[in-house]
Amino acid sequence: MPPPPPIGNRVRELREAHGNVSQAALGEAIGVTRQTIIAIEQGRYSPSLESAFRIARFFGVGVEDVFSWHG
Amino acid sequence: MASWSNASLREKSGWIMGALVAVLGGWYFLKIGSTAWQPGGAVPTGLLVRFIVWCIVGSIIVQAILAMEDARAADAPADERELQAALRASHWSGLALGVGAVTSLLMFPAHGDGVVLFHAILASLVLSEVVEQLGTAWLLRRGF
Repeated sequence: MPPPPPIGNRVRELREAHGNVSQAALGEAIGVTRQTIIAIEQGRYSPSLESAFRIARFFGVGVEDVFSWHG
Repeated sequence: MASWSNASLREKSGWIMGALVAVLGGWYFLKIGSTAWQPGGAVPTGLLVRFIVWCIVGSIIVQAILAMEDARAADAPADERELQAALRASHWSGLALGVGAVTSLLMFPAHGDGVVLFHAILASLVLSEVVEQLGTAWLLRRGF
């Protein structure tokens, strides 16, 4: 397994806090597959800046409220 | 690790298409055996046509089944992660094809046989396709 990217995120937590939005629904809203949302939540993939902003806007928070640097 | 049912359409496609091309390529080269690499032979046209037709028919069947399983995903364009995986695997595939083709050409003066050269480049093409398909699936599964 490659080392996980040094970026943490609260996507799962925010999904659950916003009425348990499904991974598929979030993926559809921001234009990625459900599997990509799963990979982001598991820290196996760092989304593009555009997708990061789309996720933050979906939850109505800032990007820094969703993603954090763990390097 | 994601299970098969949780895999995306493109990951499933990569595993199956990679296996299909590997099996059909293996079948072709096993069928012609060592004659593929002996100067003075001829290209087995009938076998080659069957190999190509089976590749095309197999691809259509696999893609049709995957599309029926998840029509929505089949219609959707690749997302950013899938594109990155495909690009990286395509890079590996290009390297495999390049190394294979250049090696084949460099060896040509040693035997001077067009059929051997043809089979060496065909084998490189098969290998590069397998690398591209399996590489994409592997990257999507393990992360990158």
